[in-house]
Amino acid sequence: MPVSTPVAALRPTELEPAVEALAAQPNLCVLAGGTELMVLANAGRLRPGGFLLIDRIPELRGVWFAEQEVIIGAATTCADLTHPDLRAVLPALAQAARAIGSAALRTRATLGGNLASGKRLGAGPAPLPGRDLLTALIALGAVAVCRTLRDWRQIPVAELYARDGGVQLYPGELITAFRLPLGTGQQGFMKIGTRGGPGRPVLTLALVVDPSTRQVACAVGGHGPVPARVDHAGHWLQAHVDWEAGAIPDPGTYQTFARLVAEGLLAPLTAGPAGASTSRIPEEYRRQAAEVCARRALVRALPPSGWLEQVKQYQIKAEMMRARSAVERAERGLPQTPPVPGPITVPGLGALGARTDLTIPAQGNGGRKP
Amino acid sequence: MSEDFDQYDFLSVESPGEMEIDPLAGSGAFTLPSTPEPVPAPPMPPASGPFATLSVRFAVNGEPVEVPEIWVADSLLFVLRDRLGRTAAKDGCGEGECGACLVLLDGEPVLACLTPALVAEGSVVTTPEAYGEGDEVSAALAAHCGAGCGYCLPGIGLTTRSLLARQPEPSEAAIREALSGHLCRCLPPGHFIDAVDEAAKAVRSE
Repeated sequence: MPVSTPVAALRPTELEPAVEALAAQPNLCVLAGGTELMVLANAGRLRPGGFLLIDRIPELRGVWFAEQEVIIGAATTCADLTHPDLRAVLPALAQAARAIGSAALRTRATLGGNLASGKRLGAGPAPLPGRDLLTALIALGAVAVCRTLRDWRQIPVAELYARDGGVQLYPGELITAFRLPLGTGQQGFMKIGTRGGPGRPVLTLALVVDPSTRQVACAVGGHGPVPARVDHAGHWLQAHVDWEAGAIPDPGTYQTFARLVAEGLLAPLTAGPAGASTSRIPEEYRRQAAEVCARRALVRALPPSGWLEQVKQYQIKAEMMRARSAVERAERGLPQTPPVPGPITVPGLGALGARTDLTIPAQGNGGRKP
Repeated sequence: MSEDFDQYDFLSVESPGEMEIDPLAGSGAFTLPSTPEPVPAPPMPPASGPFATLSVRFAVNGEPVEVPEIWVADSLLFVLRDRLGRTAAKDGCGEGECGACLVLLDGEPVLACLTPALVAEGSVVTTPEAYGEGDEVSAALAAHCGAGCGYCLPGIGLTTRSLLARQPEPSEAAIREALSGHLCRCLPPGHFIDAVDEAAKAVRSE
């Protein structure tokens, strides 16, 4: 092991040393931006033995456009996520990132940090962070890529969490990236907070329309420890949209969809406080907020008619981004391969980055608890 | 009890006895059981031996500094104010809500209270002191927002400068968004929008 004595702080510039250090000292506190951890430290509720800073690892920060997916490094900041290029392709995620804190907070707050902070396996109660980005990622169908010293693990983001909101990361495990299927249509994110600007969420809602598969995914957060997908509303909507003509014929559809989404909040998911300052929001208010947000998000994503042209524009833009991204990465000397296992196919460059730096142990249960 | 009170209410966790002197006693609206059920205290991760300390080196407003013996989780704000005596960045909420502690880290606006000091290692930190009182932004803020207490102004000044560096002619919406991370208890937002507007005009006319 490269690290033999406990250290106060480590700031590796590559992924491998970071994972090695975490394996040697699983009690190191992983810190990317610090905007959640420092709130606890300032309040005297966190006394880390040491920090593992992952904010200077180029491999973990950035966006890779592959053939069928977008891969986002876990230490990508919220300010990066609001970049116009990404906003054109993943508007829901960009809007969610913009709803996080203030501009000065977003320059440090990271995607992985927003999702990984909070309660850990086996630890007692801790305040649950807002996790606004999780709502968008769940609606987008994102997969988290986690890395231990000997193994990779890829699971849907929603399954990273226990029912009470605890993060189910194994000791020594690091989230490296998120893989998002490349959408083909309109998306939207809405947030009702305790004040107009930054703040803890009362309700977050993400709506993702995929005209190619004719599916509508909607996720609602802020009401419980973990956002939840309201699939019944999406399934119901599927049959009430004229996908060929790009129209919603019955104006009553919007109201019914909104009611179905609000009913999704009735699921018994309130095992813990949503956030420090929103735990006392009356349920009735939250349900009404969900209804209003769902209706507005649907009207914006699927107006009564004429959104086929919009979808076409979106796809042209996504295509352009895919073609441009790899070239730009090469020009700026950024890592070409994202921190995910296996080869990925990049337009214009073909198959890239079959990762050979890792030997998967034969028993296949590398480093995990049984 | 546990439903009526925030689970992390420090009174119910740390010193349940203190609430026996009930300021609202007798009103009948707010009574506590004499023996509140114990609420588990939030766990404190055990510190590994004595606090690990280290030293950081960075540049503040162009002047290189070295600060020895800081704790890993000491914030940049603490180091700037309490160790280096640069008190222009203010200690507001400590939670990233108020924006009073804003400084520039390598030219990027960050909240110093939520940035560990060791992140600044080898970086360039710009505090509100770097601008003094002579420039257009300070003059405009003083002219429009002088009636307030001024606690939020150093941070707002830095935000305004980084906004004007990006957008010399910001729209009202852009100003509102840029300032949305700052809380002011004294003045309505209109004063700040006028101030930034005026500062933008003054900077442009130079």
